[in-house]
Amino acid sequence: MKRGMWKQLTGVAVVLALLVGAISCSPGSDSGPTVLVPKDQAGSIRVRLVFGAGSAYDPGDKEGLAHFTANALKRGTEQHSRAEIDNTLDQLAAKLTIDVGREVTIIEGLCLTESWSEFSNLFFSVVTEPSFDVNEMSTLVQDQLDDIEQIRRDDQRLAKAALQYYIYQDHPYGHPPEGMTQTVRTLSARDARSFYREHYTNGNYTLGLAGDISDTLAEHIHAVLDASLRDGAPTPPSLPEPQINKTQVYLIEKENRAQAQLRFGRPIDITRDDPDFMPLFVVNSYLGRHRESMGKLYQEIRAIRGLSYGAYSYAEHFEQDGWSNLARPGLPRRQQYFSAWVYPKSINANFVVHIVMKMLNDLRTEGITRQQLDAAREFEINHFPFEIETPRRLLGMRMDELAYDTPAFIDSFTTRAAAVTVDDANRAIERAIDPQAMVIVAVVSDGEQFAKTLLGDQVMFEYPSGVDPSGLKLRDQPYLNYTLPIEAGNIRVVKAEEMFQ
Amino acid sequence: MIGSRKRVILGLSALVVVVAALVPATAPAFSIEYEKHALDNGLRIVLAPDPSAPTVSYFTMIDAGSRDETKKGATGIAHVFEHMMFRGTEQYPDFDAAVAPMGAQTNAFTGNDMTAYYVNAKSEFLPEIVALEADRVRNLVFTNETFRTELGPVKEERRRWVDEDPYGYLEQRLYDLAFDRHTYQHPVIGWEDDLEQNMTFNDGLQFKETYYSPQFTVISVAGGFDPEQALALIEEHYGDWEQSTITPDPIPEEPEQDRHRTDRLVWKDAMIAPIVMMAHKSPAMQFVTKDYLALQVVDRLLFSNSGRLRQRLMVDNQLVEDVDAGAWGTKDPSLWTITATAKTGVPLDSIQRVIVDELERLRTEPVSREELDKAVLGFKANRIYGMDKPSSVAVTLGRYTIISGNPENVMRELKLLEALTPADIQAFAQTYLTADRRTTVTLIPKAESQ
Repeated sequence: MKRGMWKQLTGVAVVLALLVGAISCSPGSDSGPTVLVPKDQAGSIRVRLVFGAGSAYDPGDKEGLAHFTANALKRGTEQHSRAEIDNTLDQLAAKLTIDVGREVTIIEGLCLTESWSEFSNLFFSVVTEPSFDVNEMSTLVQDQLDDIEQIRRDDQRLAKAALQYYIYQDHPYGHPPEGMTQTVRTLSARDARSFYREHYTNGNYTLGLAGDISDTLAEHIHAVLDASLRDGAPTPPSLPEPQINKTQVYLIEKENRAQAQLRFGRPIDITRDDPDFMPLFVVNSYLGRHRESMGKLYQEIRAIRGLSYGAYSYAEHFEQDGWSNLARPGLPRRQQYFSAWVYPKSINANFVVHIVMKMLNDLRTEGITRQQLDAAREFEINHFPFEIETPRRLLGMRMDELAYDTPAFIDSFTTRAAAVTVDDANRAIERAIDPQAMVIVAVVSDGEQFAKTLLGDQVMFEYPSGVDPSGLKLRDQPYLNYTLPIEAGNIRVVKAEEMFQ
Repeated sequence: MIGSRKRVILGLSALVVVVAALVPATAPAFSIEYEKHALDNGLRIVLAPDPSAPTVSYFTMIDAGSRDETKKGATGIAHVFEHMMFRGTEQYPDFDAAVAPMGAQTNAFTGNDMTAYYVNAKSEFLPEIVALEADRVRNLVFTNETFRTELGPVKEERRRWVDEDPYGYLEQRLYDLAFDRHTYQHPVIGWEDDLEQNMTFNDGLQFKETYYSPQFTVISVAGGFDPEQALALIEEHYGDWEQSTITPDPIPEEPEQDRHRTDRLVWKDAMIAPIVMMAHKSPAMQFVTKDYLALQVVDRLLFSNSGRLRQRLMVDNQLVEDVDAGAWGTKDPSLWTITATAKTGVPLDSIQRVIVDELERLRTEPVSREELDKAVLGFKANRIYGMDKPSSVAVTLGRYTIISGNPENVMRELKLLEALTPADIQAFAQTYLTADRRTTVTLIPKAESQ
């Protein structure tokens, strides 16, 4: 259990004194947790409310309810119909987005400074007086079923969601926030109302503001919300420790795949407040930082062999922030998982599985060298300004500090990265990376056939046409000789259409 | 030898342009301070310093994209060459290793009209960035072996976004069907046969020698830097870069479309929702004409939160899972494409009827002043919201330089939008949103075809 998140989610009043760069402190002690990121002449105001109401809070027979309730907020309030909400947003050139993660629901508004008064009226109405109109809820059920279908249709999303599903079996993190088809079908206005009453309370939110803002503005927002939302704070669900003791393979079948989406992962007990988080973060930079070409996975799989467009790894759950190479900030979790992602041509999938698993094995058994660590560390230290480059990102990172109870995460990043030793890094590797206990997900045309290739002695593959494989023969041999730690009994074939039912 | 620099528009001192765009009462003024320069060899430079930024964004933009792929069998070469640019030079044989110590964000992208490379890093690294970027755009070394190896990831990229993506697959067919001669006909990533069989190492060399030349290059820099230092560095590293003497092939002119074109495709599996793409030949972004601006307004009128088509298809009638369009600016007239994904059991015909009906409404009824103002404000606000970091500023100024001919258009178009009238929107719709200019393609799941 993470103290920081509990502090946030149970609504213990926190007064922060965040004085770095453009950060100011929160308002008075009667207000809830608050993060302020003022920026002069921004011309806009961004308001973010984070409720402890993610999909982990879904009742067991109502998976998808947190997502349903959150999206219901934009479907009408006591004062505004859905169409009126849409029209007001356009009239003000404002934005209102709702995201649901495993732990939190994020309601975020953005408006021009001059429009704040009108926009805040709409924002408060959406947050504090949703109507849960029965007809709108009926269409929302269908829309959410479509959301689940969209995950099944897109191989990339399917493999990513499936990895989490199989890492977190019988666990509140297992199902996608969008829910499962059978349970979403049962959701109703009454369910949403009930979830809202329990979770959208004045003791269960954190306020974040960025742009043309002030302490007074924060106090005003708190005053409105605290008077309008019910008292109390829900008890967060307990999270069992996920257990992956042997490597398990899940082959998801879809017809006529030209390419195999491959995901590798395992649960880890390292989150941002753990001393080993920074060593793992730096190690991951060496191994396969998202959309960076210096990673070892990228170099071996793409740069040298041309086998995949991307080859990346992740020290924690990762949602790409727009088109950037960065993780979206502001999605805290009490439990994390390590993962890797590659998507080669179907015929090369088995070879790439061998490469990834052997590389993970080598990293675990041989560790990282001083030189490798120094290079990765240097990258991360110089890269860090991008993590807090915009008011939106800084706000998210500051709110993560609050959630993880790591108040100096940003300010001490450079110092902590510089202090990571080879021993620290190798200890983190041992805790996080273990090819003997992984979940592997692959989207393939023929699961039974691919299972045979994984278990067979021969590893078939082909290089891009025109590439002379003889130059790579020596480098390939260790990968080809590597015996995958996969037993036949731990391979399961699943039809794509059966996922998330 | 360092060439003497030529400053565009005003003589010897750097031109500092500060423009406060006209805006409606509810939107703040929008401006970007920038300097515009040019070297004698034709290299164009846009500098947008922001002393408060700790980072700098350095864009190298080549005024050539898939539009400039005129050689048969070499479609996709602009994009393949973009990949090659990360393969090193004699001075920096490992580009990734050279850039990594800076902790830089570095990547590239290729479009119809341009290819862009960027390095974003802490401001203190600007000298290293200029040296590295100038070196690779001038002195790239690549072999047939590396060329062949790099084709592998390119083909996987194509598989991901065309072969395994129903939207990419359908869009490829849309452009192929809509164009007869212009190079917009082929996909940016290239035809499969060209990537698999036809493209040669020499095609890459030829493309490089033609377009990777100062007269086709724009350097756009934004963030925390001293513009005088930046300009001096750019002069030092690019000043003696000689122009290519190869004259590019002319881009084939597209004849006027004179009939509605249609096609119906079947996806390779049953796990998609039916999709329709309906496109109209649309005005180019070059010169930021009234028609181009009207298109931006129409796009918002139909697809913003309260947009007519979004409301009718998604909210009122529940016909689609999603519907959207995108008015991307292009050098030459291209397509404005509406993409709709049907809800389960909804025939695509019924969706197409609604779309056509709303387009007809735009032709026959002037939009209200309130709707027009709402659309213009939304466009402006997105511009303000979007300029939140140096890389956004650098890419926007650079892109407008290449495609519209002048970075000033980033601000100018906001002024011009203000002046649009309901009659302008109606005139645009009457000219462009006609059946003759229309191309419609649909994609249905395998099961529905049987």
